[in-house]
Amino acid sequence: MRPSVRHTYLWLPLCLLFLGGAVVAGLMYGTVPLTPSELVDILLHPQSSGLKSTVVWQLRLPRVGLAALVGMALAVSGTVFQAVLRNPLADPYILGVSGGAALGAVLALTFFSVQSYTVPLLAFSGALLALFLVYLVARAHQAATHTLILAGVMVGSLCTAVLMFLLLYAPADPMRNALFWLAGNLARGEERWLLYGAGVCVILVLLLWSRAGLLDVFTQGEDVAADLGVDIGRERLFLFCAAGLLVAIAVALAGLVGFVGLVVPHAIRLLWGAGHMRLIPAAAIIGAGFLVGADALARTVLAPAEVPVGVVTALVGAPFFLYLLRLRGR
Amino acid sequence: MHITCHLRPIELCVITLRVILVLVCGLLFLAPGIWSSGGYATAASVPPSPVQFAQTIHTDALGRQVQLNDAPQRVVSLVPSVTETIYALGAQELLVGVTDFCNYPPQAQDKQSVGAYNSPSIEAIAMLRPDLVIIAADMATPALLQTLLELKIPVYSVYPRSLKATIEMQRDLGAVLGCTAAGATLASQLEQAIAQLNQEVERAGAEAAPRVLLTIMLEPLVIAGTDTLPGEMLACAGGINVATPGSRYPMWNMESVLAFDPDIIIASPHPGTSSPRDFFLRFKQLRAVQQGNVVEIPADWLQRPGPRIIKGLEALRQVITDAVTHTPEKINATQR
Repeated sequence: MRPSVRHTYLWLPLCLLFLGGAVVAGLMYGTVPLTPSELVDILLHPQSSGLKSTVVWQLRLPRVGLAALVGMALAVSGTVFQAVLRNPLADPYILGVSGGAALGAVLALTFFSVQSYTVPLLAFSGALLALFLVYLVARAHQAATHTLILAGVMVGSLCTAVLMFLLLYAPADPMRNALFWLAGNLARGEERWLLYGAGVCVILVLLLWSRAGLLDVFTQGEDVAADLGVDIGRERLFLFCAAGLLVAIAVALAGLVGFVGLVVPHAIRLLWGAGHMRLIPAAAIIGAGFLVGADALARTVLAPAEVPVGVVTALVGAPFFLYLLRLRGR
Repeated sequence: MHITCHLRPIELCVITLRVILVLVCGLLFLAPGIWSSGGYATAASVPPSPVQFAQTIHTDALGRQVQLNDAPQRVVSLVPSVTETIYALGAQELLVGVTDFCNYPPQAQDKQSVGAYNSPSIEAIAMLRPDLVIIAADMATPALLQTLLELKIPVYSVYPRSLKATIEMQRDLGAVLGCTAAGATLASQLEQAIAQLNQEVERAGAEAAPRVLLTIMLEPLVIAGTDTLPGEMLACAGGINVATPGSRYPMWNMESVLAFDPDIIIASPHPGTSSPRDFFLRFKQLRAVQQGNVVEIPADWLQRPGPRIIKGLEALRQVITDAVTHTPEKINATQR
């Protein structure tokens, strides 16, 4: 990377521009076509009725909000997990979170009554339970990072095995719903949940940002951290809880959305370097913008039908990431 | 950033063993039933029938030439709609095995199950000593077919993805199961129902055709396009599908529903999801909501290519005529 790019203060306006562009695209594009002036008019007159106003205020805004929230949570937690585990393949779901959440969701869909909150609630609990289990194991082993990763993968496998077993007994409909739920879905933005989720997520992101220096030290290795007088056990527990909570909220709100949490942190490291003081806010903003933009694309390319958003994130993100890798390789 | 594994082999072994132990304990705890497979014992002890039957060659949905007994005695159905059809043919005495998903008629659930629709147990099938296994063409993987053929179990495949194919399947199943007359009756019942609907729709005229959204599931919103069995049934009952012509099962969103604003929304309630009415009633500006035309029809009537298709067709026609007679001027005024 050329240092001249890395050390300018351009990153913040660039990030905000990206997010702003994505949000405008998210509000403008979809099955119902809108011109920029129409969009401005609708946004200035929230009380007006009519198809386009309903579409923007009741459907697109919550959806853009949910995508931004989930994108931010996944990108920031991905950043933290990659730093703490010192593993470039770490993503938000690496510590068994996805397995735990999936198991919780399937339990909810299979055994509980028709309530809108059972699935998110149980997915959330499942994700936290998986993390807790991983941490119990890790603590018991006075863990090195690879023990944590192994424990995470094992807990994830265990959850998946139980899930597969349950699916054998589940009737067809809940099973189908569960599989779709697992694929990730940004369409069900319930405003109440969205607001609570956003509040908690923003606090968690700020907390993690406040530990940016600590994360830099962790990247150097835990021996270095210990030499510098860091209480590794306690700090790592905190980082895990905060990042894990972020993922659990994201999963509860939107299911499993892939690729964002893995690729956004790397892309930003390639663009602006690995310092967490800049990495965390940049990941939060770019992650939000990336998922909002991907969702806008997913809703538009095949309108009136839509493409699963995970397909778009990988389809757009992977080539761009490869391009960045190539750029750095020179 | 690198990952290096500092575990000694013995530690790895211990961890692996623990995981296996946990898994096994979990299985034991969760499924005491899988070790008590007493149900298969009686089936296995039935000696192969000494009677030799005359044989006929049938062509199945995969284009295979299948040589079958004229009167099979032990039939395993791996397709829920075939199970229903066998009961409708009155041939349920022949049925020795079904899948977990064969839930209609209710007494079909008393038959021995050989597993899930998409992953039947070959051992369970073999132990039932069937002289015919009926399978859906899209589930008949080459490996599964090969295995069954090596076990000398004749396999007949069906692929009912349209009304025409459903009629043919009913007739063919009658022939294959040695009840040709019953099969012909069942097939002609469906043919007559369709012919009658066609006449009715023609009498009503094209301008009375409301625009209909057929939903398959709500979260995410998956709908039935024109190129599907429910879509074909809708066209037959005189409705215009709002989905893109030629589509199969696209995923939509509420924005698209609002944009197309169908006259009628048909949904099928599923356990574990919000009720269709509540789901759509959030949007008061939808024409179907204003006019009370958010209607529930059981999924199996529309999606299972069996004898209950007729019920589905009648229900669709009923919904459409109700909508037209209650609000004729509105529907005519909104034709685009």
